[in-house]
Amino acid sequence: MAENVSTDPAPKRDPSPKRAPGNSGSHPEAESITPLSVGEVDDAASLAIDQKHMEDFASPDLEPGTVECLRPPKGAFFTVMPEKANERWQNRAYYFVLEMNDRDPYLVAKPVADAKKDEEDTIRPILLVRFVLMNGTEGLWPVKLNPPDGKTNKWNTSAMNVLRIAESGKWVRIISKGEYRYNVSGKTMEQVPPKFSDRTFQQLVNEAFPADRVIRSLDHPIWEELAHGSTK
Amino acid sequence: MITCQRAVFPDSEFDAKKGRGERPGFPHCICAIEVFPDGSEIEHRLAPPYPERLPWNRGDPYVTFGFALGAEAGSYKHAGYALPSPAIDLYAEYMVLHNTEMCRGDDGKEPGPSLIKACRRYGVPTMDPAYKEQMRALAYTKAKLTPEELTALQDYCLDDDCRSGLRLFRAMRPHLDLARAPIRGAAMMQLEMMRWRGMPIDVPLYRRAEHNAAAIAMKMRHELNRKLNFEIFYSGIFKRAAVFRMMQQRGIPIPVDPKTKKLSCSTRLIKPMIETYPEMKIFYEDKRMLDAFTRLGLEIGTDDRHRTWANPFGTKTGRNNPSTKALWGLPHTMRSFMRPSAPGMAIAQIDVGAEHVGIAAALSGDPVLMADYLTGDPYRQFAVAALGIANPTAVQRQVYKACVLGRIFGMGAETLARNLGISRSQAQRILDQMAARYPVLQAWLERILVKAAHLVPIIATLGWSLTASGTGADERTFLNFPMQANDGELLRLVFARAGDLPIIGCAHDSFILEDRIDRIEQTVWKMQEIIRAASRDLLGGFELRVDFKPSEDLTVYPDRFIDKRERDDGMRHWNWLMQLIEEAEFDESERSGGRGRVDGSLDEGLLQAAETDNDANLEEAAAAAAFEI
Repeated sequence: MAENVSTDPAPKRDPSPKRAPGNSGSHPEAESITPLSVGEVDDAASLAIDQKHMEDFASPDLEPGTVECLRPPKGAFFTVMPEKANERWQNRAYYFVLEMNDRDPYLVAKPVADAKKDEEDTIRPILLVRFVLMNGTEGLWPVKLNPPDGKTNKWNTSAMNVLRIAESGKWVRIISKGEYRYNVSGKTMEQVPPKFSDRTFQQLVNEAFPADRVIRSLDHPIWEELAHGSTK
Repeated sequence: MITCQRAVFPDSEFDAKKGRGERPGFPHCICAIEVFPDGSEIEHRLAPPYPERLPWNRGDPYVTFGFALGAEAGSYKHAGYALPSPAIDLYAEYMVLHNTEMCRGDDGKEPGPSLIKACRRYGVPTMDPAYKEQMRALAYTKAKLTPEELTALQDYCLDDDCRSGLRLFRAMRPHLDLARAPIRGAAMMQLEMMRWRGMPIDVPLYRRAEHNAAAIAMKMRHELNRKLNFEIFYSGIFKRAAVFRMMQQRGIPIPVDPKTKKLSCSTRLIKPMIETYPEMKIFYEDKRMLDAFTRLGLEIGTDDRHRTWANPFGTKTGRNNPSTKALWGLPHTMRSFMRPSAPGMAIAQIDVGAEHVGIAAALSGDPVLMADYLTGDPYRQFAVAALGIANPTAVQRQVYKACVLGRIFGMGAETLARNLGISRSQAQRILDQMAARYPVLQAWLERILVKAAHLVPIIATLGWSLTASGTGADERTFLNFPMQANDGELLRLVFARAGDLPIIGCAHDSFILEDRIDRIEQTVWKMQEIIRAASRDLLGGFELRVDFKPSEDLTVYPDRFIDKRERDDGMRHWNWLMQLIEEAEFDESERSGGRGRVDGSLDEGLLQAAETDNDANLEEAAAAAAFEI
């Protein structure tokens, strides 16, 4: 067996240690890392973090990712941009969407929606609203509208109410209990400023609805599928 | 806090003997970089025979750093050195710092990083993976190295592993919690010591089960179809749709998986229903056994001990996440393959009683829940109060237990109704009773959700944390995160303090120890004290209950270990398993005309196992008789 090639146990400082021919190279850095103060196992009682803690910082910035057309998640606070008197419809707009079970929705061009409105009840008008979570994740909230026949739906009505609270400069969280209720965060916009990205509303819509999810004509295959079914 | 003037970055090269159930091999070399306050360094290269004392152990305090320090713990043990303290494991710290990031994928948490991956994450120059593989192959395949090979391995060990560790520390340092990191470091090494000790297995019996696993599984499928009077296995293939049909026909609600939103009969979702629906109990228990038999493959070393990686920090709550092939990952019935290793030895199981309820009581500060917990049976106390009776039945207690546990795991009225076979309004009434009895707990759970919704980290007592993703699944995650994450913290603190106590296994709320009969009770007492003290330290002085009854929780050679649930069930499944093994062996013997195995490949090991069959049967009978008494 190889001999013991240990260095001498006595403290022997070597300011220019012998370079070894390893793969990543031996490059001792000048900046010292010691002395270091570290905890001890027996200190656990004093080191235990009080579980009543409430941090007052927001999460780190996240790069904008994909955009989804979904109701804001129930587990997170969100806010929306308010409408300015002279600059309306910059961050929300009415659209027609075609919704089918277990499928992502389609946007339907207005002329097509008008042409199909009597035969397809899967097309409905919605208000798409840009929202942002506290971590900077943006999305499009499809707020369903009450039908023009005067029959209101409490989900639709309560969603509009939540929207109004959010646009009044609050962080809100949706809670579903027979209708949409909400929780207003104790954090103000000053404490946690909303991090809307530089993308325009139209860019977000285009990301949420790529070309294959926009119906612009009456010969789109979806009509055939709706009329005669599909094995997909 | 302790101030260390020196830092040491050791590493060692050895055959890890992965997947074989063996202890790691004797180290070919132990190297280290020792760093002094003026920035100077000493590079140490050790090889067998190792000196009595590590050359960097100079009597004054120093802090040891490593990446996956458990590996070094084995080398220290082989060379006869005490485990270093204080020690900081950069693998553990990486897991603490990046848990949320690692949980972001659709497929659950990513596995922990290698040293190379961690270095890349921090932009630290590191070795070429191919070179690492080449050096690892050298350490794994050669028992005796030439002087040139030893030098090459030491160069690699020192200049790549140790140096990468030092660089990684420099990069991670601004983010490290140096106060709490040594607790995790000590726990990582003690978890490795648990693997080092291993669980003693009745190998002859286990090999019989393993050898006949396919035949046993086939019999189990037939038997399950017969017991349920429904063909849920068709030509040996499990038919989920058939289970749904059976449940529908019998008026049993089918669970919906909260993640996929689809109907599911996974054993995870069926488990809470088994006390309500007898058919589902049969399905759950037998299906789990069957699944276990289809992947049976305990890693058992040549010393007849089972060793497996605990995968510390492997879940998003920071708890261990061992392989489903580990003995403790198998159905509780199969834990009886474990038995004390030799005459004079005993195994003890220690449980932290109603751990999650205790943690919830302590952290929420709910005085009623604390008082109920301290009675020893919080579920019974709740049933007494809710029903207004002095002596609730076992079923009534079970209902209120399901409610308490369900609520702190984010369960709503619909799921509770399904699990208990009651109407939604009845379930809601029970949940309302709980909210009325434990208003402080209720408000605390709500506050956690509100905090999580701000997408800020929720931090457990020793620093483990998780940040919500902003998806719908967050609510359930964060309702139980404080309980699960803190039981993980508690387990690590217990391990860090257990030192040389002979722990051979653990679940999140229980510990298995093996020791000589004459000192096992003393060992158990020490362990209980450590757990109690750790709970007081982490839970603001609140002490969790630590259960151990010698009459039930102590197994003395030659008896085999029996899980409490199996014992309460009259050993029904174990006896059935023994019967299936014997039937499978009989069938095989019949097929081969009573001349041994059909394929004729009877090897030495199996012959030995066959010879010990009779002894095993006799021991089984003795164990069963002992139990009856």
